[in-house]
Amino acid sequence: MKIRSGMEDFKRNNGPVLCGLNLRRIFYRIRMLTNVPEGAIIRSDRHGNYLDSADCGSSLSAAWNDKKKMKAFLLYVGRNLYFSMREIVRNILRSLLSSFGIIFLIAFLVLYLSLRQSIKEYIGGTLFGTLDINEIVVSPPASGAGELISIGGRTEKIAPDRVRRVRAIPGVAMINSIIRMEYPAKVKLEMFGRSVREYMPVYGISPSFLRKSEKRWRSFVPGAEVPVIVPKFVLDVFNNLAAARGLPQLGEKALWGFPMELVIETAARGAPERRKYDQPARVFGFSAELPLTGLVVPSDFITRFAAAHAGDPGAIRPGFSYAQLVVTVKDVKDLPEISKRIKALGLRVESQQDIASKTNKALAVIDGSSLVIMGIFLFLTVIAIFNSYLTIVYNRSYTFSLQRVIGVSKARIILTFVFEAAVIGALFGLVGYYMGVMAIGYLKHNMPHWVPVLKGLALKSDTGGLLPLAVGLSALLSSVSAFIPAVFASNMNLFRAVQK
Amino acid sequence: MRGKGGGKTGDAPDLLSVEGVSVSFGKRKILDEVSFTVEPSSIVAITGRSGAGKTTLLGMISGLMKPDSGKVVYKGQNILRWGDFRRSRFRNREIGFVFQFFNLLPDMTSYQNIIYPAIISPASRSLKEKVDYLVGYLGLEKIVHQYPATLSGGERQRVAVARAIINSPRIILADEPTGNLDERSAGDIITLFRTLRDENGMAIIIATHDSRTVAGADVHLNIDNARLQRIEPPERRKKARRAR
Repeated sequence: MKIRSGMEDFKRNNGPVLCGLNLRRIFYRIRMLTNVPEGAIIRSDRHGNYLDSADCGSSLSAAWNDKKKMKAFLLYVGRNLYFSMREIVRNILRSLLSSFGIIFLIAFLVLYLSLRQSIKEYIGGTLFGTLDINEIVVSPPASGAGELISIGGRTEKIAPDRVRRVRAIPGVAMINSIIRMEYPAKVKLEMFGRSVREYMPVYGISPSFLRKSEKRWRSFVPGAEVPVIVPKFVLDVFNNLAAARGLPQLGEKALWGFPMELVIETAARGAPERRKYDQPARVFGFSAELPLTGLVVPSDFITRFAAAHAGDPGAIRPGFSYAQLVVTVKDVKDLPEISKRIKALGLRVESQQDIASKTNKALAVIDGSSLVIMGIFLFLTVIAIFNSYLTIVYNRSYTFSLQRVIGVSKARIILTFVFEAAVIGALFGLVGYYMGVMAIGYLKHNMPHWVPVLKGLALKSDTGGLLPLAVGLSALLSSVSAFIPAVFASNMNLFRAVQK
Repeated sequence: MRGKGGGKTGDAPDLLSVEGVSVSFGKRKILDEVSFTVEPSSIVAITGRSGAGKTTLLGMISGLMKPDSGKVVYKGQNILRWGDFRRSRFRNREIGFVFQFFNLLPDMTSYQNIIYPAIISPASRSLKEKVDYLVGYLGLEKIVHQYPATLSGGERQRVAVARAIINSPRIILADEPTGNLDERSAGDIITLFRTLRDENGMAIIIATHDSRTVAGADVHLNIDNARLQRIEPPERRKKARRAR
């Protein structure tokens, strides 16, 4: 005995299946949507006499099995599509005006999403730094605690005894300290025949702290030339300064290996007797991870220099202070407890969660303002599209009325009009998307000149994933805006309209 | 066909009947308890002053307007109780419209105008042949690819008639079809209607002021003060009708 499979039964009852889709049911749905009567693909004989549905075959399956009738059906769908597309092309100029706002809305959306992502990375990477899950940043108690953006460029310091007490907390695996040189230091640069001298904070970090840094930096041994790492933020500030002085702005490539001199004074600024030491230095690299507002050198250089010049007249002692500590804990589970104990010492603690929370806080501000702008844009666009489509409806009232008279149903008029609006919307969504991409390209190129401090903000031009969203959203927006005018179109006073 | 209170004049079964239809626009009564029936293969002329309610009556018959009360019965079913989808289908397949101002779509060629009602309903394999036949039948070969704006009134009306009959309807509703035509073109259209009646068995309901159209009709109904009256045709026309 042959046992039929479940699928065979299903096919017998429901018709052919292709890739899991029930074709007969789909065909039936399409037919209902496009107004094809059941079993009446052909309804006139060669003399033009009407044939009842029953004469043409009693069920849809008959039509399905007849390839010629299927061809006729496809022809019917094709012709309808042709006329729909024809209407779209005919009204494209009018629709262009009505849907113009969509282009700007989508362009703004693309730009906003790109900006948002870039700002997120900028804030996370440049301002707050990046931390591993088992790391905590310990900062001195600040007067502006709880601020949105905190940078290790303050004058507050962590007292050495506090550093020792932190080190003594059980569960602490390692502490990497960021020290600040207390001696006033000037950076001396020779650029384009002009000498630039500026006081700048100098920070020291252990060479092993920057895991992804230059090999030569990690293997630094005190020598003649001090290797300098420039945090991105400092580079942006430097370029701002350069722009203010009419000097050209320099990128990472131009500054790589750039020679400079650190002029270090061992006494406080304004002290009657000050000794100055010129220390040759060279730019060795850049870092987006260091949330510091000065140049970064190996901490050994600062500690050795301080030790060597502690006896200078009026010398500042001990010559350096702790600006920040990066504490690595042995077990992540202990992180809350260790954070608590560090906070009890009167220090500020920032973990990855705190950074995430701050980033989210900053993004919420950006999102909020962008949403307000987009909301206004959206509202104006929808009103404009609605109004324009309403005008289009009245302009085309004659056509709609005539269509109703010759047998087009209300639902079909609404569907056709909304379909037209969706196609137009999708088209303009595409245009808006590429306008947004062009705007990104333009801003990417020009924004560093307009706002040099944002030089480090790398706008994301890889927005390919946004294309379907832009097109879909635009089509949806256009269709929704056209829906009510479409309902008006389907409810025209028919005889009055055709008697015009 | 019988008007209100009239006896049946032929043996053919009723195709359509209007039963007690009343319509008011505001306080003004347009149609008051109007009743009549339409047989296949007949021409019905509806006359009346401007604003008497002729076009409104055509609107009711086609299901485009709904009366305050009454029924429009087609094949035993009250079309006014149907949903929009079914009434639209009914208009598309069972009814052809001809208007005084032709009402062709100006951005479509004559050919596209003719074929348009057919593409709303399912396409027939023989659609092209059918349009070609109608074009030949109505003498539209030379103008079939022209736009309505370039056609004369008579040509436009013939295109409109071709559009009205492309789906082989059973009823043609004509609203002042000759009102905008010269005498000769009007005569052609009336002849065409007669041919459709005689050869295709169509019922043609014409709202008109034209006495020649009325003279060619099998039944003459007049709307006066919202009431429908049947005007008996001369004896010779009754005879001709019986002979047919």
